[in-house]
Amino acid sequence: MWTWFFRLASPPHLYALAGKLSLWFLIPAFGLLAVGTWGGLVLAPPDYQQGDAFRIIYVHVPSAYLSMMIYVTMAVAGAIGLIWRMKLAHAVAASCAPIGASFTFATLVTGAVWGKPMWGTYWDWDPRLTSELILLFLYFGYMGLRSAYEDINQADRASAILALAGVANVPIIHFSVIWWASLHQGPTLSKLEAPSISWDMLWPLLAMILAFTLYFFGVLALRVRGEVLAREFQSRWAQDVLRGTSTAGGK
Amino acid sequence: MAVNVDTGARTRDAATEPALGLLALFWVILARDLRVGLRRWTDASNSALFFILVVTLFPLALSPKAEQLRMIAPGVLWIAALLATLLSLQLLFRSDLEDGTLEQLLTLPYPLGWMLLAKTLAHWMITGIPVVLMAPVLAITYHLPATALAVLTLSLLLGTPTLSLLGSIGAALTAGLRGAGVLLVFIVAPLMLPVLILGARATDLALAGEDPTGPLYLLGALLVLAVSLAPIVAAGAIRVSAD
Amino acid sequence: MEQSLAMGGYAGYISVAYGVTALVIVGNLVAARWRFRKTRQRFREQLRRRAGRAEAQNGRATVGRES
Repeated sequence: MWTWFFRLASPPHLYALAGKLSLWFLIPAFGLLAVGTWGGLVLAPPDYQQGDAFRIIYVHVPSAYLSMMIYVTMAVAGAIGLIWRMKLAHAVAASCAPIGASFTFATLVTGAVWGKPMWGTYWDWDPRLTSELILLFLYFGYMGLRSAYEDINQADRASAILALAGVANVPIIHFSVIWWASLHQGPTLSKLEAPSISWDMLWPLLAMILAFTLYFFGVLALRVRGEVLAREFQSRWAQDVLRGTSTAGGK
Repeated sequence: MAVNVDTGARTRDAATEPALGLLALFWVILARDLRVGLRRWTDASNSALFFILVVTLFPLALSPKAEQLRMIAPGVLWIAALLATLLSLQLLFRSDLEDGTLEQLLTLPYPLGWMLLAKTLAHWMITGIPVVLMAPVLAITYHLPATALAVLTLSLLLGTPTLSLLGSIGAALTAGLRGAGVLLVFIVAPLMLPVLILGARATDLALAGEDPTGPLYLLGALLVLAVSLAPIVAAGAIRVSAD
Repeated sequence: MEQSLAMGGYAGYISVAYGVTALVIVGNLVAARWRFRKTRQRFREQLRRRAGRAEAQNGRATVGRES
C-alpha cells in the first residue's frame, strides 16, 4: 500500500511524475482563477459597509491561506526528510520556501492596500498582518540558513529543524500578537463585517482558495523537477535525461 | 574518565563507561563553562555594556521627560535585554567549535541535550544575570515606580533564560557558518517575540496599576517549555552543524 | 458600465492588489521554469565538456568506448 509513497522517493519517478502532474494542476487552477476573479470583481454585490473595496478579499485571503499552508507543508516535508531520511522530501521543502515567501509578500501588500480605504492607513500593526510580517521573517531565515550551508545534506537537515521550530512557534506567536493588539486597539475591526457572509459573496472566495491551492501544487511540481535534477546530476538517470537518451518520461 | 577542568579536554578510558552521574556531569560542564566564560571577561561584559548603551540611547534620541520615559520604559528595557542576548549568543558555541570540544562532547556517552542545558545555563549566568541585576538600576533612571520596577525585574528573570534557550537553538544551527551573526538574529528573533511581548506587557500592566500575574505566569510556562524542549532541538542542530 | 468600472472610487487600490497577486502568480511560474532551464543548460554544458575531455584523453586509442 505504501509502495506508491516510497516510489516517490525514487528521483527518476518523481522527476517524471512532477512533469506530468504540473499541467494537471495548473490548467484547472487557471480556469478557477478566471472564474473566481470574475465572480469576485463582477458578480458579487458590493459590501454594505466597505463598498467595492472588500473585493480585495478575493486575493488577500487566498494569499494569506497559502502563505501559512506552504509553511506547514515545508515543515512537514522537512520532518519526513528527517525521519525517513528521504532526500527528495527535502527537495520538496526547499522548493516550497520561495513560493511561500512570495505569497506572504502578496498578503502583506494586499492587506496594506486594503487597509488604506478601510482604516485610512496602510499599516496600523493589525495583529494578523503583523503575524504575516513575522512569517515573512521566518521564511527569510529559512532560506538564509539553507544558503549558508555548503553541504546540501547539512542544509537540508538544519533547515528542517528550523522549520519545525518555527511551526511549533507560529501558534504561540500568533496568540501573543493578538493579545498584544487587543490591549491597544480595543475590539479589532473584522474584515468580514457581517457575522455570516452571503453566498454570492462567499462562492468566489472559495473558488479562489481552491484555485490558489491547485496552483501551488502545480508550481511546486515544476520547482521540484528543477530541484531534483540539480541534486541528482551525478546519477545515471539524470545524465541520460540531459543527453536525451532517457527512456523515462519528462522533457 | 579524566577531566582537565582548565582546558575542558576530556580523555576517555578504554571502558567508555559513563563514570559520572547525570547531576555530577551537569555541574562539571557548568563549572567548566563558567570558568572559561569568565576568563574571557571582555566577551562576557559585552552584553551588559550593550544593554546599558541601548538604554542610554533612547532618552538621547527621544526626550528625557519623565512622563515619556516612564511610558516607554517597559518596551525599551525589554528590547535592550533582547538585543543584548542576541549579541551574546554567537559566543555560546563558537569557542567550543573552534577548539574541538564540541566534537568531543558528541562522542561522550551522555545525553547531548542535558549537556547543552548546562552550557546554556552557564551562558545565561554570564550574560543574562548582569542584565537582570542592572535593569532595576536603569529603570530608576526612567522614573519607573517601585511595583513596575519589581515586575520588570521578575519578568526579565523569567524571560532572559528563555531567550538564552531559544537562542541556543539558533546558535546551534549556525555554529561555524560564515556570516552566522546576522543569520542567527533573523532565525531566533521571531521565536523570541512572545517572550518580549509578555515581558513588556506585564510591566506595562504593573505601571498602570493593574494585575500583572497573568503574563508573568505565561512567562513561567514558556520558561518551563523552553527548558524541556530547547536543549533537545539544539542537540539535533549541533549534530547537523558538527558534521 | 463606467460606474461599475470605477468600483466606487476604489479602483486604484483594487488594481494594485490584484496586480501584485497576478505578478506573484505569474512570477513563480516564470521563476520555476527559468531555474529549470538554467540548471539543465548548466549541466548539459558540463556533460559536453566532460565528453570533450574524455575524447581528447582517449585520442586515437580505443574507439567505441562509450563514457
